[in-house]
Amino acid sequence: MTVPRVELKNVSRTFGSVRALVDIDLQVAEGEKVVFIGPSGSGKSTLLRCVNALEVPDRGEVFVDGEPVRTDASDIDALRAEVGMVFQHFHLFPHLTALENVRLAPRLVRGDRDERTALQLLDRVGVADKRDVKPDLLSGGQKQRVAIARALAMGPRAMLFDEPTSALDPEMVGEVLSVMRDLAGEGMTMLVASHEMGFAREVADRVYFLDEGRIVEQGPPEQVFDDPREERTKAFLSMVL
Amino acid sequence: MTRSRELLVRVAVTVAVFGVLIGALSLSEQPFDFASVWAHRGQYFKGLGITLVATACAYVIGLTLGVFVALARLSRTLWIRHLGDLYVEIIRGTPVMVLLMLAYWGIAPLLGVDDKLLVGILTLGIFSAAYAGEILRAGIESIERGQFEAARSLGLSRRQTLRHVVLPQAFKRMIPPLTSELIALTKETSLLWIIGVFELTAAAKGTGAHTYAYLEAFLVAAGMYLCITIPLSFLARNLERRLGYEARMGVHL
Repeated sequence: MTVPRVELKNVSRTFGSVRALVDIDLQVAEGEKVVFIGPSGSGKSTLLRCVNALEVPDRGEVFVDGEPVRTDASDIDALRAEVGMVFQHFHLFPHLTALENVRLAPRLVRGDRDERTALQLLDRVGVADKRDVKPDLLSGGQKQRVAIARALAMGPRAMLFDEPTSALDPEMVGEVLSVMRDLAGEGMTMLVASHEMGFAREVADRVYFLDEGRIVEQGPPEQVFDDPREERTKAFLSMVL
Repeated sequence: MTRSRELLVRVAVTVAVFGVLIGALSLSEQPFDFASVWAHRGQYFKGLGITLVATACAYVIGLTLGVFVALARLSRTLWIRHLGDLYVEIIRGTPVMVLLMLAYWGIAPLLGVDDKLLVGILTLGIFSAAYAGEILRAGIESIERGQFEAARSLGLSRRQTLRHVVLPQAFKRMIPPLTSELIALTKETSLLWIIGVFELTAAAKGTGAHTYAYLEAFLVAAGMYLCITIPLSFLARNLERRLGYEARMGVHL
C-alpha cells in the first residue's frame, strides 16, 4: 500500500467552546484533487490550516508523505515549504514586486538566486508582464495568480487553496480557476475549500461536505451534488446552487 | 488645488499668524531688546550643542533599549512579557522630571556618578525607550496576521519572517510616531537644566536673568528649538513618502 500524500488521523481542534474539527479522518493520494464544501464556520479552513501547521490539532495527527506535521518539530519550516498555501485574501507581500514575492522564499530558504524559475512561474499563471508591479496596483485576479505562483515557487508536494476565489469580483473568478485547472491537469495534489461547484464537478476526484467540524458526506462530485444522501447536504446545496 | 496655489495659501497663513503674534508682543511700552540677547550668543550656541548631543544620544539609547522592550512585550514567554509590561508601565507612568531628580539626587550618588550630562542622557534614554518600545511593538502588531501566515507557509523561519516581511512594512508605519518621539525628546532635554546641565533652555534662562530681556531671551530659545524640530518633520515626511508602496489618496476630513 502506498503512503497517502496527505493524511489526517482522528484530528480534532477546538477554539474555546467552538468545535472547529471533530475526529476528522482523511486520506488524499498523490495527484488527487479534493474539494471541501460547507457553510462558513464548518471547519474547511481549519482543516486546510492543519495540513501546513498554521493550526495545531488538539488531538490526532497530520501526515504529509507519512511524515508527521508538528509545529514543535525542528524541521517545521522545511515541512511547511513542502505544502503550498493560497489564501482567500491573497496575503501578498505589499512592499515587494510580483517577481520579488515569488522569489523571496526560494532565495531565503534555499539560497536560490536564480530568477528564471520565478519568471517561468509568473508566465505560467499569465502575469509575466506584471513582474515589476507591486501588489497594490494589481487586480484581485492578478494578485491571486501571483499568490499561486509564489506558493508553487517552493515546488510543493501538495497545494492548499482556502477559498481562493471568494474575495474576487465575479469577472475575475474565471482566470484564477483556469490557473487551478491547469495545475490540476499537471497532476498536482490539491486540497481546495471552495464553493465553485462547476470547478469541483470538473476537477475534483472527491467532494467532502463539512458541517460543524464533521465530515457529513463524501464522494465523487456527481454523487454529492446530484444525489446527496444526507439531509444537511441537501439543505446546504439547495441554498448555494 | 494646484501646487503653487497651495503654497501661496500656506505662506499667507504663516505670515498672518506671525504678524499677529509679533504685533501683539510689540504693544508693550518697551521696545524689543534683541541686542543684549545677541551679546550672549556664545551661551546659546553652547547650549544648543548640548541640547543636540543630549537628544541624539538619548534617542539612540531609547531606540536600542526600545527594541528589547518591544521584543520582550511580544515574547512567547510570559515572565519576559511581564518584564516588558512592567518597564513600560512604570517608566511611562512617571513624570520625566521626577525620574531626572530621582536619578540625579537619588541613584547617581549611590553609584558614585557625578556627570550631570551623562545622568541626564541616560535618564532620558531610559524614559524614551518606554515610548519607542511601544511604537515598535504597535508597528509590528499592526501588520496583519495573514502576512506572518503567508511567510511561514512558504517555509520562512520566524526570524526571516520578521526581517524580510514584517519589519519592512512595520518600519514605514513607525516613521511618524518615531519622529514625534524624536521631537518630544528634543523638547524634553529642556528639563535637564534642573539637574544643572547647561543646555539651550538654561542658556536662555541665564541670558534672561542677566539682561532682564526675558521675552527676547526665550523667544530666541523657542526659535532655535523650532529650527531643530521643523526640519525633522520634513525629513520624516520625505522618508515616509520615499518608502511608500501603496497607491495614495489624500485624506481630508
